[in-house]
Amino acid sequence: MTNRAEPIFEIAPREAINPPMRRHSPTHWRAVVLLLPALTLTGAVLVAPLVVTVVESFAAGGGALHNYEALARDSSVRHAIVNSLRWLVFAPVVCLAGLALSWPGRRRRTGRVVIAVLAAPVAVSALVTGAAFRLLFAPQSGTATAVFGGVTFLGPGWIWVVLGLAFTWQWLGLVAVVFRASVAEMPWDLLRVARAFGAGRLRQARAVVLPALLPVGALMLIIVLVAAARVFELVLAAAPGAIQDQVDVVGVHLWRFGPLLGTGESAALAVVLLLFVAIVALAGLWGLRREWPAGRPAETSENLSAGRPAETSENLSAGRRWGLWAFGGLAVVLWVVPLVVLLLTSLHSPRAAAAAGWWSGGWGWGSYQAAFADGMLLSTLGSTAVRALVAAALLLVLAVPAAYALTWGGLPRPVVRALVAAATVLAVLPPQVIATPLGTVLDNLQLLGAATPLILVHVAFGVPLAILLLRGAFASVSRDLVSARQLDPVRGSALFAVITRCWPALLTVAVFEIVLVWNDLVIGLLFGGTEAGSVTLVMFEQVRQFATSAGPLAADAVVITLLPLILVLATGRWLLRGLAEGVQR
Amino acid sequence: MAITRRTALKALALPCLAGLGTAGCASDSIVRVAVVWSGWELSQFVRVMNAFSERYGYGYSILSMGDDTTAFLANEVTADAQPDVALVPQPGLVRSSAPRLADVGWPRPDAAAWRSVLLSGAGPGGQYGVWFKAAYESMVWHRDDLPLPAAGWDWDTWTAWCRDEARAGRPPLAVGAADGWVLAGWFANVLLSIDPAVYRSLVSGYATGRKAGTGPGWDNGSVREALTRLADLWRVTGMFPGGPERALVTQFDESVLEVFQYRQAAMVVGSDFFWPIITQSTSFPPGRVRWFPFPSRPPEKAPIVVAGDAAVLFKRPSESPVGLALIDWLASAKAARIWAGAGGFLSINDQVTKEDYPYPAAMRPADLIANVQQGSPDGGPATFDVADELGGSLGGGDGEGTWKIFTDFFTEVAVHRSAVDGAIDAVISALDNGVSGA
Repeated sequence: MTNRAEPIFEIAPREAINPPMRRHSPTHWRAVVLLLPALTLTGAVLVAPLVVTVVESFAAGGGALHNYEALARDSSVRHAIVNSLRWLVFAPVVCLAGLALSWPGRRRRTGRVVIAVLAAPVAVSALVTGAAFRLLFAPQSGTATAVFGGVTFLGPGWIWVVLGLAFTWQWLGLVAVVFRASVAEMPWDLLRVARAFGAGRLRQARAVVLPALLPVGALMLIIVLVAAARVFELVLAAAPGAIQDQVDVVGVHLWRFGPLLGTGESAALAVVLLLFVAIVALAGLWGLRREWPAGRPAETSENLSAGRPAETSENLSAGRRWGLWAFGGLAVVLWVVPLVVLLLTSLHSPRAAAAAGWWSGGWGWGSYQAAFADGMLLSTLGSTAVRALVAAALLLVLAVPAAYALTWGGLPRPVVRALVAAATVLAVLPPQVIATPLGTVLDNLQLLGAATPLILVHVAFGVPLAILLLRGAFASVSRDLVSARQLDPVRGSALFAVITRCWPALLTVAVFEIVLVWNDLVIGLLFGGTEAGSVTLVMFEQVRQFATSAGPLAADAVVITLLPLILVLATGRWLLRGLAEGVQR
Repeated sequence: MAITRRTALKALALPCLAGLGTAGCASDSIVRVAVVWSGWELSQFVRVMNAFSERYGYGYSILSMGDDTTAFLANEVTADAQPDVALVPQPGLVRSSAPRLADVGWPRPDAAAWRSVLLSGAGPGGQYGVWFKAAYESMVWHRDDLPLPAAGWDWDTWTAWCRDEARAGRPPLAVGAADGWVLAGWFANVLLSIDPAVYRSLVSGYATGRKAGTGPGWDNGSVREALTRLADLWRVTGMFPGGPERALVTQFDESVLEVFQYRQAAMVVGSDFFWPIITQSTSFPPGRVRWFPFPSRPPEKAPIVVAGDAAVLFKRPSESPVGLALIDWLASAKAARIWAGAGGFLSINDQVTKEDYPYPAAMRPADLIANVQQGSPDGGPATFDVADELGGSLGGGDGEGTWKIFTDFFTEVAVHRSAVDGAIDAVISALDNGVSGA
């Protein structure tokens, strides 16, 4: 029983089915105590600067909407906003493509390799992704340029294709894999019954398929939409300097022109960015609240990560089987290309990597030597790893009690709902939104750029998502067990009982935080610096002279990607299970 | 976000990195230096600092200011983040930051053109910095197989030859238009040949005491003439390998490769710091690299656009001997020779001679040295690059200020082939609307 697969991701506000817990009012203060550390940190680091930003957007300058009017008059701001909206429109397209990709051979088992390869880009930082695609489409030595000669991929117009492909590469695989896991979970018996009763295809889709996929679809949509609203590194890494203006987005504009816009206007633009992500996230939250199907047998979840083995009795013609193999194979090949090109480029001497594509000679370890030559990479690898580990540990210390309090603390339902909604908005908060006020405070405390406060900022940004993830898992623990322990702590603390039964969720949260901190560029750029030491900043420096730094740059990218990739692949089963399952409650 | 930039600038120390020669942190024997370099250039500077460490017995730590030195010097920074010495590429910024800087005196009698740009105009006159690294940005680089006219090239014969080559399907020019400063450098060279006086009054505004929003506007005949010359050349079909669209995605280092590695273009306009790119990233024999000065139209003088990094010392409540020692070291010929030997570095110290540089005779190192020491075409104060002189919203950065203005101009005239007059009006209006200042 203890090893039952717990749902470990749940964004929907959980509604207690049992009688109201008001009688246990003593648990209220206990829940508040458990919530307090997490609330204090997020309140100080995220909420307070957020409030300052919102107030300043209206107050600074003259007239309540003065700053917003000024933004509307600024053509470059309008341009950035329109581009950000384009990304938001693109996100559902990626999700639909993921659904389509998950459909062929839907009742067959999906190979582990295919799943791993398709989902791997999630572990790759957006900075590395941007660099990989710039390398692929570079004008002289780009692989794609060599294949489709004569096209200036990174130029005006085409750059959108490159950025779109990079974004697709990063997210499409995950969407497809998660959809597939949930397609395998579909109530095929129900579908068979519907068919037997003569329901048409449309009716089948409306009555069975769509409701079954809606929860996971909504979650995927939130994840991809939020990624779209937070596009930043991709623009800076993949687009050459002169082109960046054309593909400017709100996040980049805010970072670059904040000082010139002035306090009020940059605050107003930050609020616009916040509105984008908040609306998206809250809409997703609303979508996830619709529950279906009501009661699902627990044992089906056991086979999730490997697809749906029960359905192999279905006879496929040899041709179709080969078609599926080819389809899977093609997807795998396409998906590994960017990372393979990075790897092959890094295995050339810097001179060879600068002068020609990876298919020409000049193999050697020179690029790795160059990457490590000035000592920066090595020292930042250490400091980033320490920061990621400390942040993950601290995050668990703060988020586990908070999530427990929100799940089993017996808090009034409206309070829980409000906190979950707030956590959802904070989970998707782009760091640029609060950079000015938070930076000013850190500056006044003489902490800007130092290593320790940077960890706290990372943890604060991680807490909301961690609480959402943990809540889903904690809720799956048997209510009887928790109540029994709560009433009779002599047999052991209820919190401890919950934790021991939810260790995969804790692991997932830790892995997420390690990967997020490790891959972060924005927070390091805004609040850190090289003193704090972050691997992505070291690599970001190289982008300035992209062509002649191609070799060391690729070596940086490979070194940076190794750790998160291994971590995610090693723990992928739990991550995937959580994403595909927990949302359906 | 004021913070983003300041952050990047403020506290980017490499604390006590192994291999960087630091001898322990938080000690009076440590000097903190803020620089703008990264990558190979930073590794060269580290060599210079290692030699300092050995010679004087002081430790050091290096802070990287990133692109934005302005915020770094203009704002009061916390004591922890305050460097002892900063290497600043904008002379105007040094002058306007004078109240916070220590008068370091002038250790040598040479290069008057360079000295005068660091003198504080207002208040008690003093010498608020010494030059460590200089750059000469009025060069046209090419391979030795380029047929040169016996009399050398002026603007008209040069552009005529370029047009002929373009028409014949052999792109004559590589240009790293993806880097806005490359295009701004073209403009600086052409405007400086046409009218050094206007260049001084508009670009080197500090030299004449002009402040943002005052004095003459950008709309004058010389500026229009300079932009017209550029537009006429840039919009010629076949001028750049792969066309102007590809030029827009080509960075300066790649434009060097286009000439010396891929041989897709005959020449590239640029600076002395192209040398290490040629020697490190191409297989072209260094002995066959050539250059000539950026052409002008007689009787105009050949332009001399320069850049440089001045070492400044921040005022302290108690004078720090470490900082002064470092200033002395950075101004010395010994320090200069360490980096000069690797190339991509020019010194205005006249004890650094052509033997100290890696350049073969064909590179005419003596001319490089003479030009950079002269510092300006007319004997006046050194004429700095546009983006280094104009601060504020006209300063540089991808998609920002002058970089963006000239990128837009290039896009309009070369890629979109819009009417030249309209594109020129757009540049002038953008420059007039920009807020210049440190």
